[in-house]
Amino acid sequence: MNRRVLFVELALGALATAGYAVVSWPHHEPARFTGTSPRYAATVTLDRPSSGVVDVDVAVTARNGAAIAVEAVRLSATMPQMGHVTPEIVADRVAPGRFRAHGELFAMAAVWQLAVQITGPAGTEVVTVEVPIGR
Amino acid sequence: MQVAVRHPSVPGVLFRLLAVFLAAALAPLVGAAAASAHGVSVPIGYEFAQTIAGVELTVVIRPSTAVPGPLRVDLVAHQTVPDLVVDLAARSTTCAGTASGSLRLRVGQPGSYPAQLWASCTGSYELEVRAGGEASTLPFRVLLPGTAGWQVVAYAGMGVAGLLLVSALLAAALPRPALAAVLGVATLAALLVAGTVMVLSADLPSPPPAGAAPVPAPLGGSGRPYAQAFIGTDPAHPAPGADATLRVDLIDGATGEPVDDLVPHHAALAHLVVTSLDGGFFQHTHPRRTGPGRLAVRLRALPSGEYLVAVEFTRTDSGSQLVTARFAVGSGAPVPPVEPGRPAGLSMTPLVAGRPTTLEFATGPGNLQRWLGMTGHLFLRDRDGGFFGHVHETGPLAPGGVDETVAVPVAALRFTVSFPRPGRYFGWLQYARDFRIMTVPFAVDVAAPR
Repeated sequence: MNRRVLFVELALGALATAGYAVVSWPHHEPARFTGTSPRYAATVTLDRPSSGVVDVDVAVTARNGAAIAVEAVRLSATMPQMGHVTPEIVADRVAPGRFRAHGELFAMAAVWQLAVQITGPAGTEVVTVEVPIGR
Repeated sequence: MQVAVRHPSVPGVLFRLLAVFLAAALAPLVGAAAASAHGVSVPIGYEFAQTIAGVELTVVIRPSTAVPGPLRVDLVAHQTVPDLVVDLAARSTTCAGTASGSLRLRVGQPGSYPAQLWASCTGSYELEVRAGGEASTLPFRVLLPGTAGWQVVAYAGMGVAGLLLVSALLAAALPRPALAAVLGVATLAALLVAGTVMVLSADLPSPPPAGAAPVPAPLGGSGRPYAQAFIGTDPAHPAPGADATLRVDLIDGATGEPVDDLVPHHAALAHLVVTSLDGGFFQHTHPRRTGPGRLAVRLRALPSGEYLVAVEFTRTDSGSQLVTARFAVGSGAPVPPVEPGRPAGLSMTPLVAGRPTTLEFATGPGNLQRWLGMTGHLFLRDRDGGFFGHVHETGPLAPGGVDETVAVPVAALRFTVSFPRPGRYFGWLQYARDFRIMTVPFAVDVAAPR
């Protein structure tokens, strides 16, 4: 019976270790963030939330979710913790209401504020999302 | 000689286990962790003092208990209260949720005015407060307590222990004493795991509440870059006796962008104090947030003279900062200066530069209310305006977790401060009673150390 108990304990320990490893293992899955301004809503998808060059997909709707004709989307990022700001990137329009940008928005691992400047039928407004960036 | 050892029966042990189980199961209900974040008080919520439409209002956004769910907003109006309609609109910047409402302040009736809005999601919000042709947009977050991994382990352990205990009792009743013993030991093991986690829970990290901002990793050093301010009046040259709007644009010294990360510091995004150079005029206001990094407050009927402006604020994850400016009204001719003197009830220890001085003010009969997070405030300024101090009362603290509607017995206010240099200082002592903000001006001469 002692051996059985020992086996069960070892199995539980191995299971817990494996679970912890799976949860804490570094991974760069696409990350999605949503934000709203008084008239617009934006969903931002990063191919990987890490520093360096990234691909950013931006889907823009009216605040209530209705499809709208968006003229332009520009992205810039600020890291308030240390006071960094990155150059503005103009996103390319890939479909009605959908834009894609490619470039270096996040210079280092930190929490960045990604400003999505949207120009559309209601004028120009900024949706800001907070993006935790890893290495 | 034989000694009879009496072993407890299996059901007896199980009933003891049941008692332990019940006691342990109730333990987590005491001292459950609550949501918290920088700039917000857990029991009260967000407090924003606002000087709007000539009224000193404290906007209190209460913590949410369910989302989607009601969002309670209380306005605490201080005298003098006019007949005034206040429109409120809560707008999420995370989801599409928007809710609005309005209430009416009744002339001469200070106190708490409750309103109920709606929160559709957790996360960041803006509350627009509009009254008398003026508007302010206040940032806040709707938070809900998160669940920590240790809580899951503790509750699951207790649940498993409960099931095992019932099984053990059934086994004992059948009777299957061997099985009951095994199940009893398993119950004990589950209780041990859950109990250990509960005991250690005070030292385990609390999970971030739902809706909280991402927490940045420490990067060495602390705080955010310094802010600087463009401060001016509208009109640029106010006429004596006319109203003027004082505008403050805060700029980040590292990025050149607007500073839009202010958090409530002593129940306000910013404390703006205007004093005349000669010390004859004092006004402590709480400017409206009119845009990202933009603050404004309307000053009424300023007499001719030269004025000093001091603005205190706190950025997220940073200490407080102070920016100052000067402006003139009319020709800048001064009003009669304040002469050194002590109002009735004010006493102080010897005034020597560089040494702590304690000032005590007897407030007289009647209870005092907490205002801006404290029972009393003392503002100090030297003759030239090179020093500006904001000192808090150091006497017995008002009970924590109470808002400005609660009055507590306070007989005297005590402040201890060191005057940095010898010379003339102007002082203004403030406290709240019956929703009226009392201001006691004085002037003192501080001696040089021997």
